[in-house]
Amino acid sequence: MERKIFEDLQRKTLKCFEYFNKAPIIECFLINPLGEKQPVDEPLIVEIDTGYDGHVLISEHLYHKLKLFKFELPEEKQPIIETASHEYIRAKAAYGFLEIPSLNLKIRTQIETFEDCQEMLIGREILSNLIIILHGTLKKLCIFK
Amino acid sequence: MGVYIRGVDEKVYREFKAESVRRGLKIGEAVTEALKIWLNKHRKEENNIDMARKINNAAYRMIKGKLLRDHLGKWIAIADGRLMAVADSLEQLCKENKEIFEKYDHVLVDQVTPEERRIMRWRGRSLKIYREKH
Repeated sequence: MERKIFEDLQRKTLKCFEYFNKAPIIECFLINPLGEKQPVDEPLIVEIDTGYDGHVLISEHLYHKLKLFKFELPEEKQPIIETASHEYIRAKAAYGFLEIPSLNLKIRTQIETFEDCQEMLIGREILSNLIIILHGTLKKLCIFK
Repeated sequence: MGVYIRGVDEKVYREFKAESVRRGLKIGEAVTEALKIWLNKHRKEENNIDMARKINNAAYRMIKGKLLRDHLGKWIAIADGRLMAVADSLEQLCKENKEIFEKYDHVLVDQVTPEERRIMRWRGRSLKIYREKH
């Protein structure tokens, strides 16, 4: 029954991504506003985090590699990240694009990082642009039409 | 101190070794010098970016009122402490002013709106755990 529901849904599915390390992910590229893409060949595997209010959080290393300091928001508009333990981190944010090649989809977004950040995740601001189903039993994240 | 490094390009290493011999340096001395140059180069780049960031943000604060009056909803680029470009979209701003983004160490980009700083919640992890992990 469950599989049948999923098969019905699958007909309306644009793309499904298998969970990676038991976590829902999206395979994507990040592009700066001049069109420079990272990574160059294989897409990034980025975890979906519904607990993150922001857009896309990336490592400070990748932020520099994408030269995002050349497309940075004014300090007054840069976000502050409040963690689960109510600590506050001053973030840096820049404009860029998130591309999901398998969907032929390019979303203009803000890309955030903070000092020594090594995380990479997609937050709720991006999810609000997509129709997504997390199929826990099949361990798949599916994006719908 | 002895260090074993994997993944060094063979051709580059051979040329490096030949050059250090030509200059009468032991390989360890030449590598130390190369590491120092590399570190200084990257630190200098970061310092330049930080300095340019401060200048551009100071300029933004000074002209913010004027931007809101004259360019509300437009996209702007501030570099070298000056308003360099105004456009209708981010794409247009970057396409028509590519040289600004290539030339300057830091560019401040914004869509002119009265919007203020946001506090974003990240419930998934705590900073404490994050710090322990790394």
